[in-house]
Amino acid sequence: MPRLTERSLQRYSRQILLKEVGGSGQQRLMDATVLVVGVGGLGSPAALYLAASGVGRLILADGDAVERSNLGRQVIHTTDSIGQNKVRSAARTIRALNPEIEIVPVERHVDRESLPALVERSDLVLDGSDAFSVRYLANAVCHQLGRPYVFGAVSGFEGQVGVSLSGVESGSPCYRCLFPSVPQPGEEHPTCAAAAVLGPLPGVIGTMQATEALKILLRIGTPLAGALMLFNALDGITRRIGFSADPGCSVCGAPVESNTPGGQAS
Amino acid sequence: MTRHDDTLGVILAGGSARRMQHREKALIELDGRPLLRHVQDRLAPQVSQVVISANGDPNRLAFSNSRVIADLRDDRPGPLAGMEAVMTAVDAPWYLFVPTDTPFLPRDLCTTLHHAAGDPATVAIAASGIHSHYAVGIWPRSALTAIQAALDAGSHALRDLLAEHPHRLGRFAISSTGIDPLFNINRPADLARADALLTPENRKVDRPMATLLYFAWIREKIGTASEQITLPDEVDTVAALMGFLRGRGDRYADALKGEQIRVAVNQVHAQPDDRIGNGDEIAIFPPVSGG
Repeated sequence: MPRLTERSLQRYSRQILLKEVGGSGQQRLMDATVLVVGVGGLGSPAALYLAASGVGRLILADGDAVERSNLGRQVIHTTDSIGQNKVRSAARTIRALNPEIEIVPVERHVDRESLPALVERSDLVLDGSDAFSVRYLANAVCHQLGRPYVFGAVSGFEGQVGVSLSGVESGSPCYRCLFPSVPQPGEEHPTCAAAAVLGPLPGVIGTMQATEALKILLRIGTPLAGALMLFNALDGITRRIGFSADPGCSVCGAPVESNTPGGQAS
Repeated sequence: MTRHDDTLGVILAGGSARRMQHREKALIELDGRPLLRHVQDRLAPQVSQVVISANGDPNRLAFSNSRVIADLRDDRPGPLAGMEAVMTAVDAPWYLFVPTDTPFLPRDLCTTLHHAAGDPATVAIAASGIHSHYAVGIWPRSALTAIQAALDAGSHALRDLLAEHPHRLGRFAISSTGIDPLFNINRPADLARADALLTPENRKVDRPMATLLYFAWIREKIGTASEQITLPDEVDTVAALMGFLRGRGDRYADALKGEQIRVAVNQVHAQPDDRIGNGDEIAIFPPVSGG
């Protein structure tokens, strides 16, 4: 990983001035790899700010092409990039912003087969996907492989953001501790399915996700672990909902003994 | 509010009401109902059942549909004789005694007194502000012997018995608007004051309130991000609240169906049987998936 050059120090000077960051913190970011799943509404600001802040390597994964309807909020893409794979489009914007960082492009959606290897190569996973199935998958893989998992979601005028450190800290809850039942397609509210959202909302939430990622990488502050942030932009209401690990969680709960007395199968 | 099945509720209605011009307090009307009815309505949900300690013609209290128990001794005025008579007539582990002139009895009177009674449990008397209210308290069955001994010795004042008998105090807060829940009616002026306190505006102060916050599609379907509600007596858990909300109409039923919905009480994720109460903020939110 590159050492901080004079130009890097200028680039990141405002951040380095923070006593919680300093030169050593900045170097830590330079040495870090973050997997950003999805470069859409949430992934756009997240990837931009992670790049701007000097995370040394970004693995970007997305199988979609840029569409005109994305440009109302997915600010990493440009009109020129319509039709291009989103990762390729994002990489171009990021390179123009900060050529010092390395981009590892994965021009496909992650899935059960491909995700573990990508997580293995990362220090942290930031989820910018728009499907519950990906969230539950990423939450589980991050737990199994011991990586911090930063999740977020938007709908309408609202957003949610939080962190799972279940794979990193014993007793810390995961996403599934709070939302144990996976919504089936069709059970989701129409607004979610139609993806109606006010432009800046994913910007707010995705940027908060990037902030959480930086906190975790820098080991500063209190990450939103066991604390779901609810944000209602329309009415100006934010709440930080505390929740604890569920011992019966199917992802991070206590392992079930397969040979329990009485011969019960697990 | 919890119903304590081990506690018999007893309304002490034997007082002579000298200061109320000898009108029987139990029958004095407040807001169109006898005072005894006000006390009974507050007491009944908290105890196994309610009985009345009173002398004279029991039919005058027939409207209460409660058993009326007369004193065993006719030469000992005062609440001790009434307490003895009830404890002798009805066997219960605990007795919650209240007078008939406290129309604003707290909904958590029994629970608070039981907590105050401690371990090992003693008599617990209610207190508010700087006053102890001797006639408002829970007594274990074992205290009957002490009551009988006091009566045998010629005493009839609760205050004198409590000066000797170990007891603890269960404290009740005077509301922010100065309403003492153990306010009792002694003089005609008190009756007028009680009547004034029962106006709808004041009624609201006395009732438990909660703030509800709705998020995402729940907010959209219900039509508001937040609202304040009065908590009905039986709505004292998260599950009870959800049932109550769903019953408010189609918008609520539609918004709150499904098992994905999460509830947080005072910003902590809560389970269905977690308790809710006055002043709580309850956030109701679903998982969201947009990205």
